[in-house]
Amino acid sequence: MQNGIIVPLKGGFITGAIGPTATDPQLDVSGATWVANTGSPVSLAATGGSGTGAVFNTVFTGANMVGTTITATAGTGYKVGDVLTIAGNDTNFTGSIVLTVIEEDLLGDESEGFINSPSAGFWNCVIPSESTNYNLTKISQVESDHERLWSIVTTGGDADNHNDIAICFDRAIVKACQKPNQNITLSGLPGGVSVISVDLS
Amino acid sequence: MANFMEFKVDANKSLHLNVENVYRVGLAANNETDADVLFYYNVASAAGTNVWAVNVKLASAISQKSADDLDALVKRVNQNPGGIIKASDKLGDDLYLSATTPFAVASTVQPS
Repeated sequence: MQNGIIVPLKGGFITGAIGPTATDPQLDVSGATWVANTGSPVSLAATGGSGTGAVFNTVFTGANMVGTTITATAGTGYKVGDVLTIAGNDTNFTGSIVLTVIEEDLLGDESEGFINSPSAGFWNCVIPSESTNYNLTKISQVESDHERLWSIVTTGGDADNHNDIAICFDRAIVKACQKPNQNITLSGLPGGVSVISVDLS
Repeated sequence: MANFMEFKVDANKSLHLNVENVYRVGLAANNETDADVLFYYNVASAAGTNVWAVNVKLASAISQKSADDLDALVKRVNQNPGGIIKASDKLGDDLYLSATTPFAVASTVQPS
């Protein structure tokens, strides 16, 4: 049993391509009917899932759907297991491509991060981001003869709000330490700030 | 359950330092005053007599007497499991953490 901090992540997509459909089981093109390869990638919006704003740059290879890849250019709030529908534009295909979101698709490689208290040591303090990178907040964890750092990468941090980001994590740590065996869900980040990833180094 | 000391970031905000394993507080420099205050931790060390300390950097220097006052606060809060004590009780409401690197953890040598 332990205490920890659950950190909801941004839920944006990685910049890498997903597919091709022939070998990637998370892309289902059974409901899509090939029309033509016009030679240039097309930008197609997606619907469904728990997030908003997903737009995929869709690249066609050859003269059928099996070589199709998609690369996200926008979107936030998506979670593992979301099923998105990318409707055809009728020029390249009709029907739709269905994408089932997996961990590898998302920034931070998951829907939420978890900062658990060390089994042999203790959370020590939150180190606010510095002017060199207002989107890197750290949590110091002291263990036997060494320090480990949780690196929290955010987006939206700046000179005005970087301390508020740190204070948000500080409050969560204090709260988690005040009661045994409870997890705290991070809340209260400044507007426009979201967490991309949480890593322990 | 951890015990914390609360330091002010500005007039309305604060950050906390876990002081549960702190056994001594002192100025970093051998001077009458310093803005760097070391909190020494009793944690295991594999490198001889190395000890671990957090350098709390304040916006302005405090006296050795104030460091001793912080030491007393640490000892007091560590008598109350899960307790939080305010550094401002001894440092006043106008002394904030440094805007740059307020906390830095490092191994050091035994204080003299």
